[in-house]
Amino acid sequence: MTMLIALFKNRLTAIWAFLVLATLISVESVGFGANSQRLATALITLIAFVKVRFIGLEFMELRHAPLWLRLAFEGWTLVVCVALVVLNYVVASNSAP
Amino acid sequence: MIAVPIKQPAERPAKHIPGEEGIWVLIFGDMVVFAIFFVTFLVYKAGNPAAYEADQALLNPHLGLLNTLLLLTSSLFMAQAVRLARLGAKEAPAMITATIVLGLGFVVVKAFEWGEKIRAGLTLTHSEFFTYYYMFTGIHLMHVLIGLGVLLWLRSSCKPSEQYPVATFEGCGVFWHLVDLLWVVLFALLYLMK
Amino acid sequence: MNKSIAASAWSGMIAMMFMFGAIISWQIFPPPSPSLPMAEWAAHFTENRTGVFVGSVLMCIGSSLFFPFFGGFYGCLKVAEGKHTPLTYGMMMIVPFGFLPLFLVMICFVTAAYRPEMSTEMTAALADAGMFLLVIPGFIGLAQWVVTGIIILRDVNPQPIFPRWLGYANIWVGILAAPGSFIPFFKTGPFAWNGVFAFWVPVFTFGMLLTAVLWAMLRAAKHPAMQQDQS
Repeated sequence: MTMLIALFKNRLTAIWAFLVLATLISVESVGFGANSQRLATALITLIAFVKVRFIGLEFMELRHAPLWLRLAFEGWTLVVCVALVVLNYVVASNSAP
Repeated sequence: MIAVPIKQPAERPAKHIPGEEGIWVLIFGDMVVFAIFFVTFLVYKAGNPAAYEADQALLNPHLGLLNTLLLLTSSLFMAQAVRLARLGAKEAPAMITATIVLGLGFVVVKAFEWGEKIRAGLTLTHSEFFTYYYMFTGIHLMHVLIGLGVLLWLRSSCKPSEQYPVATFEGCGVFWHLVDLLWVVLFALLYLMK
Repeated sequence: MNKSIAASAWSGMIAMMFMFGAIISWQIFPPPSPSLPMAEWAAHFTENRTGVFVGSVLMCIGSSLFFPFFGGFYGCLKVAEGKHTPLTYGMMMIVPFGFLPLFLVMICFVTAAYRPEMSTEMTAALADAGMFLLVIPGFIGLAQWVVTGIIILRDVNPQPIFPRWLGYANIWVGILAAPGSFIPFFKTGPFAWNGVFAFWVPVFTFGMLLTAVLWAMLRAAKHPAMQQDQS
């Protein structure tokens, strides 16, 4: 058991704990209620892409990759995140009575 | 399958391409196409938000959450496997096995979830939302299955007497994390965003 | 320089141009919507009879020229795979399976346009069959490109015949080809036969991949392992 703990006592496990926590927060924020639904959806989108960024930088080890590779990944994350936030805003505007 | 020519640096150089250069063609290629998936979904959703929301309410977010946690945890094991392979530790293959088991868990949950929906009459052509739900999660599931095949191959290529093929570990890891990463966005898109 | 490999690469380029010409001539680029009223869909063929017939001739030439191209491609893959080549044999069977439908596409389209006095239902049904034959083989494409990708990545030569990224690109294109098989379920949206994911993404990535393969074959023609024995 102590050996198992030793195997997991590192940065990767801390990242994983953060990812799980972020997931739980995003699931909980669905229930914010109708008034702040736009905000909740924006938050969910943001959390998803923060998670994506951490998976890329830490698990895929892009943190140690050459700059072009890292920039390509971060660029994708940023562009897609912004696109989804904007489109979600359009969706919310269309659903408003 | 993806036997990367073995080179095992004693220490990781400061700047290092995970896996090999070529695999990033597949990784970024998939990321671009999934980005088109996400955008297409929201563009169509904007045309009829009420119908999408009504259908979304029929999904079971607990199963989606369970699958997210399974994949995140499998990614942790995969990342640990790469770390341990680099150290030459004997536990590295066991970490791959754990990754595979968690990945299989994802497949089982997905099959159960689809079965539940199909029994309720919510099939591929039930509505636009369910078309996307099945097609996107289906294409993602195909990635999971390919990833599991790759991991089984990696597990079988770990021989006790030999050094670990570290670059191959990295390459397989990168693909597995891609599967995780795409699911993270799909989960938010299909189950959570209102 | 292995001249037969180079020649087969160029025959692939010519094949691609003829096939593209056929699709233009059939006026199915971009494809008409499957949700068109049946009469309009039938008129698409009866009012473009010459185009349909010319397109079929072009397709006949183009699809034939693809086989020398694949012959050269097999030649390279066989050397890449090594002494025993089960995967290359598999690929050799999948390709005809995936290309045979092209022949049937042109028969369907020509038959749809041949007798203008034929009933609308008949014309529309034949035209539908042609579109299905063209797009449904998605999963065949998946098998073909994934197997090819695996062969390229498992290259046994000290200096690989093909660059490794091409192997990964094959797998990527293979995965993207699959949604075509689902077109019967849809008449509108991105998964219908004129949709982004059933038509445009597969067509675009297939074109890019073939161009890349062509380039890689011209490169492979100069590979030492690809030279004919001088003895």
